[in-house]
Amino acid sequence: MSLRTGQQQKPAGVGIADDLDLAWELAPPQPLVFAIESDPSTAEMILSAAARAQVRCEIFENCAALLDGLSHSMPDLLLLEVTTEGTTAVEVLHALSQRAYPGVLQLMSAPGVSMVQPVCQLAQLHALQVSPPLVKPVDRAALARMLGGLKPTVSLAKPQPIRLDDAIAKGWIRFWYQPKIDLQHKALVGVEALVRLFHPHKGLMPPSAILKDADDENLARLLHYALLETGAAGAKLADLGLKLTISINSTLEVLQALLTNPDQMDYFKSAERRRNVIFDVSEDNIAKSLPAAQAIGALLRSAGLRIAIDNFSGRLLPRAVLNDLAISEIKLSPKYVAHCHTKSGHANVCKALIDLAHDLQCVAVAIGVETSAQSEALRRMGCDVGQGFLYGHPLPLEQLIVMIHQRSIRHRSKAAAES
Amino acid sequence: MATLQADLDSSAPRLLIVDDDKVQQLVLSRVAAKAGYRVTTAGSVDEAVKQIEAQRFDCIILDLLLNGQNGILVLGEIAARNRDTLLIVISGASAAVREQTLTLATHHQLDTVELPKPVDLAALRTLLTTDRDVVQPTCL
Repeated sequence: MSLRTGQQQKPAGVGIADDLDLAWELAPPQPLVFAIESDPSTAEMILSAAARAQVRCEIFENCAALLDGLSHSMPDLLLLEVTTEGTTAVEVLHALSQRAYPGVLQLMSAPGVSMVQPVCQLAQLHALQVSPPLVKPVDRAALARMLGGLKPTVSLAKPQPIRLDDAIAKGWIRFWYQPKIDLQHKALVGVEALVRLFHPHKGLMPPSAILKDADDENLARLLHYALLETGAAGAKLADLGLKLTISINSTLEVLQALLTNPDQMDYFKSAERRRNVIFDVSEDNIAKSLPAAQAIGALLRSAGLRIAIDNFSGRLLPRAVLNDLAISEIKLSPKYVAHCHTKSGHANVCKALIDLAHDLQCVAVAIGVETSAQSEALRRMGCDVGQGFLYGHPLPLEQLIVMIHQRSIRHRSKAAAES
Repeated sequence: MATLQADLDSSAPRLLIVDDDKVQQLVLSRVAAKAGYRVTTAGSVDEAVKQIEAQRFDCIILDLLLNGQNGILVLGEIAARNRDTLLIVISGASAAVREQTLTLATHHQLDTVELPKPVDLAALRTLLTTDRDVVQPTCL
């Protein structure tokens, strides 16, 4: 960065010499080069040429290190050494093809390395932009020209969004479990499985990073994965003597795909699995899919499965639709729950929704419960179940089990003291 | 390089084993000979290329890691001279390398099967004997 001189009128009262203004001139963005090079002298030459050309450059020892780098940023140019053995080069091509690498690939090799030809062929098969190979010792002038003419088009491009199917395949998706408490008996009755995305480099990311652009096909994949994961979690909880329902978020469209897929419905052969799962579908989603609701309700009933209406405000769905769907829970919108103890209007809505749930022979669940006052107000209104930070944050299964043990011990100690 | 002298007539199908591991060569040779093949072995890319140039093979078993060289180099030679051959790729290489090898083999229109290492000899036997029904012996 440098201070730029200029003739523009300076704001009054700024005590700086008249021929200076305060505008910082931003340095132009620098192109990015990655290289895999085992020969120290060639690596040194690449680094010094890059520095002279004002190009950012990173040298990697092997394919695994390069993959790490590619997960952070995409280079404009990749210099790839091809050795006689050639395994690293082939592995790199595999990685680049999977990422549809849009930059330039420059191969480099010692004279007479026959692996260059199949590597070139593979690069072309994968539609990578591969330049004619450089033979070592690399010509400094040619390298300088190449780096000097590089533009940061790839490295500055917006990063590709994380794909849901990719995240599932790579094991980045996990489920955390939030407790659901019987308000009348103060007992744990279920958990809601919530998607969490763990990127190996970016850490815990919001689920919206993968869910907002996911299509129904990938959401169906996620639901299938959720069933497998929560099934295993349910079995672990059952081993501890905890027979809990597990709520899984979904949409009517994705549920319909599941219910009409005989292979996936095999999962529900066991009556216990059918009993333990509740699919949470938002009121909004049902309202948008009203024509399909009746058919899906019939499919749910014939499969012995149930749904919960999530974020229920009571304003979007006609009673006939509520009767058609196999509903087991009405989950009150947190918008009303938040003020149920302070605003009579919100309290009235909550009471009406709880009564509606009971009228439909459903369990009324308040979500977003954060204070004891809210919890007590809901209990007095006849709400059956509460879910929210007051009772527990979403946790990995192992931590949830620890929390259950701790609270159970505390509960027993308190009961013993009282008796 | 060597040819296993089995008690076979000259019309028996020919099989080339390209592997730098002598023990592996021997084990694979026995399985192939029992399956009725005349077996030739090569321990390097250069030996393999010489054999492929010299005669046609009905089946080639190819290891990808050959004394610091890559078995992928043999694919072009096989495609140029033995396009009808059954190629069995055996390797302990990474999934990425195996996948790329199959990509290149498919590009060369080679009929390719992959067997991971350690080789399941029963699977290899089945492959070789099943293939005998469809592959006609090649005459020089």
